[in-house]
Amino acid sequence: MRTDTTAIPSSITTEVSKTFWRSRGGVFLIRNSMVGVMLIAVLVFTLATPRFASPQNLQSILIAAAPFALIALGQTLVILTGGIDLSVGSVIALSAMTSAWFAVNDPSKIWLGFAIGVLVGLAVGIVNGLLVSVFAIAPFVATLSTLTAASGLAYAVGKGAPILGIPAAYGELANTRLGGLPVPVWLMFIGLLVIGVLLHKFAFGTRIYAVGGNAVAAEIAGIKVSRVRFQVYAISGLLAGISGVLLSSRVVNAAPSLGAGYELDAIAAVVIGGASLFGGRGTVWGTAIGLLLIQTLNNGLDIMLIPSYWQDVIKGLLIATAVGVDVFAIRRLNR
Amino acid sequence: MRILKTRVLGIAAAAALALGMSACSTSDSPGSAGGDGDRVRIGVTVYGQDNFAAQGKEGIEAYAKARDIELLWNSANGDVATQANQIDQYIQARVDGILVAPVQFDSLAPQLKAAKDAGIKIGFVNATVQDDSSVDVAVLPDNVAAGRQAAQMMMDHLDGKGKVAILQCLLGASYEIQRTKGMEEVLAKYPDVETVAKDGAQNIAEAIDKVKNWMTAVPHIDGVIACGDEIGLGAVQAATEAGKTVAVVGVDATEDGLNAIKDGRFIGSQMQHARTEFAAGLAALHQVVKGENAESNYTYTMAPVTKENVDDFYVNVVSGKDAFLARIADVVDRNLKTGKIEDES
Repeated sequence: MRTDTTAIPSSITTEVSKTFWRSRGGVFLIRNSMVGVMLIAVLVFTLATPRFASPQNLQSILIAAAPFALIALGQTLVILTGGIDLSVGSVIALSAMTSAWFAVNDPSKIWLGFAIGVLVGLAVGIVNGLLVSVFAIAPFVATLSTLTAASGLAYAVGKGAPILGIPAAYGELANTRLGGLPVPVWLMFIGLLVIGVLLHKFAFGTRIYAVGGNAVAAEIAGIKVSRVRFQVYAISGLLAGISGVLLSSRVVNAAPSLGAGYELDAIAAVVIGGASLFGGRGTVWGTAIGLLLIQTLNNGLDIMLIPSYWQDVIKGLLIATAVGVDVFAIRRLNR
Repeated sequence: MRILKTRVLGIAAAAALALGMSACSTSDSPGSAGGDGDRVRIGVTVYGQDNFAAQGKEGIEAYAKARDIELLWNSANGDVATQANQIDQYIQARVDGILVAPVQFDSLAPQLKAAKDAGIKIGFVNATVQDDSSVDVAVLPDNVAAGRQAAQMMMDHLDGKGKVAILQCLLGASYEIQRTKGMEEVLAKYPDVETVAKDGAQNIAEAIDKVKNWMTAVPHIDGVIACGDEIGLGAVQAATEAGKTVAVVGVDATEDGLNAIKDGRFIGSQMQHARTEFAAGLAALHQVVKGENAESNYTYTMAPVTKENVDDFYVNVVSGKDAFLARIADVVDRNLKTGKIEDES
């Protein structure tokens, strides 16, 4: 948006653009800039190939998004408190491995395996929560250590190899369709709804924003900061556990490398969605848009048969742009 | 404050690194530096921990047990620097030989030279390195031939016409480059075949989404030629989710791949049995250490596996693997003489 020309003195134009960005329309544009990027991406893909805009393809995008959505939701809560959860990729692997291990050992109790897989995720989340809240270890370091340890445990469960001979019934959970959509997609919708309502309509959410905005002030206001911190890591672990179980069920495969690097995509989704890594700012809506944008790009670029290395370059540029827009927006709003 | 934070982070990172390293070298690390006189001691470092490496370990351990070799085992967890450290450790431990399944093609030159200068024999298995001047013996799969074979299977199945996609492994890995080269060599000979898509996928989850998106882009794909069985199974799952059918061939013939051939989800795969291949690597290095005559290069040729012969392979890889491990030392020693490393009869 360059408005300065030779005809008008620059001081006046800056004044005009300042007023624009602070006007209602300007603020709306900045706040929803990623929706704009999303619409542009959808438009480009739709024009490039008629097959992009089809119900089946929308389903493909949603199915691919589901495992990321759950961990991105957990990540949103954690990032809102000013923390970060690096361990979720490893938790996916560990949950998938334990769940599959139980399923192979007793194929009659596959559901027990699923439950244990989810609980394992919760357990790692609780460890993260304790490390951060009770032992006051910096979140980056605390979850870096559980990232390493959980990955090691995932390998240990399979003695260094994937779990083989998983019964076909293990795939039923994630491959069952209800009303045309597979279970993981429904769980993604439910997750978005539940976390969105929790965060934006309940005191729980207010406390999270307060802790991320200013922990000292929150403490003075009577919020138990360490409890809030503990809760967000536990929830993040739980969601990663569910994600791991769903992912392994969908592919009927459990390898210790499953989910490796997913934490970065989740963090990217949250950041693209406009959240601040310093805490206190971000929404579930933003994360959902960030996530959909990444998945739409993955899908659309695949359909245009663009090689994956160029896809990575495009995604990198997008993250930088998102953060750039964010910085720009904050400057404009605060001036 | 900021400096303190950075420093704490640095220390934490270093500690995590050290932890990671010691964690992967605890299992069977040197320790008994002296060893007993005439028992041959061989240190093994493999690229990582996956199913293939786990099978390779079984083969190597079975051979070592049968031939009374003292074995030291380490996994590099996909990291070149870790692998270099492990070779240094083996040099310090004064082993007689080092067997390497390398992480990366252009790596390890200084460590290998140091080992050679220390009088240690060096064997390679599964893949080699760019500077192989220090290498005494190598047992390597013919990945180009495997790629050719996979593509040929698909061409025979499709009668040399139709639309195919190439699903590559981890882009840039040497086996991926070689297999893709072999596939494209064969496809170039068929003018009626169109390669409609080509990209890499690192695991089954990635492969499913990738192939599914291809199926949206190109409504009818006749066949997917996959660089590995795991991602090949991803292509099968993608077709199922999209409500389509597609012919799939893979490479490696893993347990899951063999099962897929049995029930018709795969039209075939190429047999690379890690137990046999890795045991042959150890056996060849053992010969060199003992000063016996050995070739410097052995090639493991992957046999084509289809519905017709899948049961023969299934016995040695899955159902009767313990029986196979019991006789693997004799099988491998014979193979070194005949030069047919892949022969499991």
